[in-house]
Amino acid sequence: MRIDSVTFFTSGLVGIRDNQSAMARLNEQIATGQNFLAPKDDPLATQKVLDLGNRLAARTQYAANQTKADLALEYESTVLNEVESALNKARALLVGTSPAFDAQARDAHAQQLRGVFEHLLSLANTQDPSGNYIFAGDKTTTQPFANAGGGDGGNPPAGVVTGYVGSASTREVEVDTGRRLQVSDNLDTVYRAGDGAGVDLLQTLDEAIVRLPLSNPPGAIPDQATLDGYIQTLDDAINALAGIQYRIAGAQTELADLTATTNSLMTLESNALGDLQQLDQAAAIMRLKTRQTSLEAAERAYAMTSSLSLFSYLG
Amino acid sequence: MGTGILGIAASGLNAAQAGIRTTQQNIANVNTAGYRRQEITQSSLLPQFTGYGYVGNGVAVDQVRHQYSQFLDGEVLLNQSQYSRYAAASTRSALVDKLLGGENTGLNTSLNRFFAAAQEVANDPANSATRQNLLSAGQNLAGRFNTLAGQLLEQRAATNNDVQALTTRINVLAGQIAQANATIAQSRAANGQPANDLVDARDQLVEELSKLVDVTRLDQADGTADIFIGGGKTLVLGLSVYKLDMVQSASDPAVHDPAISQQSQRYTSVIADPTSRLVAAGASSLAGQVSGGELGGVLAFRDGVLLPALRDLNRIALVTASAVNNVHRGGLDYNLAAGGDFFSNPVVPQGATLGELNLTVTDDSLLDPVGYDITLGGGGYSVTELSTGTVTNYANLAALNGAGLGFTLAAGVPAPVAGESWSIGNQARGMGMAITDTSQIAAAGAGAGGPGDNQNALALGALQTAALLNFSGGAFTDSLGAAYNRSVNRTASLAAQDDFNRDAFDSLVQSAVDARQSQVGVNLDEEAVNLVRYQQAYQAAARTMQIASSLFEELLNVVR
Repeated sequence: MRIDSVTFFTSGLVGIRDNQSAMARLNEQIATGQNFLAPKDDPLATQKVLDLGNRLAARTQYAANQTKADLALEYESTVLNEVESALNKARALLVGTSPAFDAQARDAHAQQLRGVFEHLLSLANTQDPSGNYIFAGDKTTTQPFANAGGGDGGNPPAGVVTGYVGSASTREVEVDTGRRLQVSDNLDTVYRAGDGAGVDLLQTLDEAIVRLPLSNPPGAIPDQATLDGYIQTLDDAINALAGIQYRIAGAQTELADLTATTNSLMTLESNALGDLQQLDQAAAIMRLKTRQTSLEAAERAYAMTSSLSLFSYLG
Repeated sequence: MGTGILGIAASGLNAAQAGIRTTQQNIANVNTAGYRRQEITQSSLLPQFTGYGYVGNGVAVDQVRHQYSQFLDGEVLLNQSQYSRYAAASTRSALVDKLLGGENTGLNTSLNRFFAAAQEVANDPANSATRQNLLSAGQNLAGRFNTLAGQLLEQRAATNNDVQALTTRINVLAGQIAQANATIAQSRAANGQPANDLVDARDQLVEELSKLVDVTRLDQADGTADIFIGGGKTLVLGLSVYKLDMVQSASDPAVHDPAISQQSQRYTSVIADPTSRLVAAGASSLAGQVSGGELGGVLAFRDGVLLPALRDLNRIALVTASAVNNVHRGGLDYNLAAGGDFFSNPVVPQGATLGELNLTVTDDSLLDPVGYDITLGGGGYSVTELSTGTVTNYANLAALNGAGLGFTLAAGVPAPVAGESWSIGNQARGMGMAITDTSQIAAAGAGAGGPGDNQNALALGALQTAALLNFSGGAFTDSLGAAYNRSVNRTASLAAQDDFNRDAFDSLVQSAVDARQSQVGVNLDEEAVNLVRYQQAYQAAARTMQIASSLFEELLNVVR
């Protein structure tokens, strides 16, 4: 076949050009460690990478939410354990009290009860590290249980010692797509035992504190039936509290399972993402080596053919 | 007899000289683009009759002709045109591809950050730090939409400039081709011989033209070539040119299509003023007809990659803003006041309009690709679809909402009044924040008693995975992020296709050029052989002349 000189001299350039651009690309891939330098290098894999990236981002946030939910539940459960022991202590004090006790013994019990009362009040007004009242429902910035001068031994019994000004709502956190976990509780059922409209725990304790001491007239001292009523109120509160504690334990179990699942899915997805995105360095270097060899061959071939001309031989 | 011998020798010398000159011309033009190798054709002169038969009378050079193959030329034009188209599209779509798909430049990071921030507010709704974080994430998301749209709009403006520059360049070439036609026809008429070098130069112009637009040519008997572009539109007819200008695209006034003049003009006036201008009349749009060359590539990129990507981005921005706003307005802010818009309302009030219209996308596949103008008159709402200019009147919002436009509108606060107008369009570029203070974030659900409620923040966070886009088969199929990724994938696939076709046509151009050059190109070794051949012929002819001279001398000596 006839070939013209320009084609003859430049045909070697195609090989040089192709090899050089392939080497430049391989160099960039190796430098960045990335399989694709632009989405168009593999549109399908890119969409997978982006979708996986979004899923990972969402899952990372769910993992963070799970940690926060766990912290909230742990915090609440610690406080509730304190409440439980305070309630038990109050119950023990009342059980250990008799109308027949002398004034000094009644006074001593009243003083101890006062301590428990203060503790229960402060536990009900617990704030989280950010300063939110954790038992205030959605009114997290308002102290839910106010002490309107209760426990001070007023006479007759104060009656309006405390009042709940929080709301009945509880907080949920999104721990997985569409799965919301309750991370706060309402102490209404505990502090106003029974049906909520029932007897107020703190008021009951306040009444006991007011009526037990020495200074009161004999008629004001609670009889055994009244004391039993106090104890019943405490029992109701302890039962209600146990209900909440079971709920929290259940939520924590679920959360632990969910966290394990989330973590293993995240690992799986990260690996898949890595497999798609990351360059097989060894294979890339092999390809680079191959390209280098063929580039050198093309360059040598060019050098050999470019000097050929019949004119060189015509004297 | 002596003169006869000398005459033959002289004709041989002449022919050899012509051969050497042609060979020199070939060698000199070995690197000239478009040059076709020339050769002389020679024939024996009419012999002289003598008693013993015909005696030769020497040689004549009939013609210097160049090698030419219409078929191979056509192959080069066709492949060159397609190569240029895909090369032009490829460099441009690569930019969009990298912009949309880049981890740092794409939308995903901002989108994910925004929803993560919403969930953090849900985790701690009364905390001003988490609220501030959501506010910044919202700003960041709106800003990312702005930047992406800004880049795409810049590219759109650049394609208008490209169309202008390319049509002007086509006018220049068309003028030059018509001018070359004039010269070729003239020289051919004057001396009846083909003007090889002029034809080569003209055909080189045609080849240049094929890099800009798809070209077909029709050669006429007088040596001129008529040129057709864009699937049969006459560009050059002999010495006249149909100039290219631009018109606004019928579907989007912001983009310019090439258009061809309905009147032809002489090449001289096109050469004097080749500039392509945006015209309103007198030119027919070439939209959808140009399939090759750089112009075809620019248009294919613009209509196939750029504008769809911009529309996807606008659609996603519209849905993001309206969905977030609709949820946000359903909640209560830190002070338990009703929530307002989070992002600026995508139904943008025009002029002195105060009334708010709140939009909900019901089927994004029906949305007008460019946008809408809405006015409220005494007779109700009138809606203009901007891509078609269609105006429809609706007695009230209920009628509008029942019309299946792909979106519904609800009167907001303050309610719209007659005389007001709104515009929907370019949502991604225009996206901004409607709230500026952390207390305005409506994290609490309706009916909440305090700022610790997080129901609305949870609802905002849930938008991340909710199917809100790509309505198909009666339901939305994609989340915001998935819809964006689908759009990235679309661009990437088209960009990959452009690359693939560019490379394919690169080798096709190469083989077409090689095939043509193997016929018409200059081979220096071959010319070296020719040179030697003609040199020897010359030497031999000179020798015969010497012999004739010495014969004549002999004769004189005899007589003396």
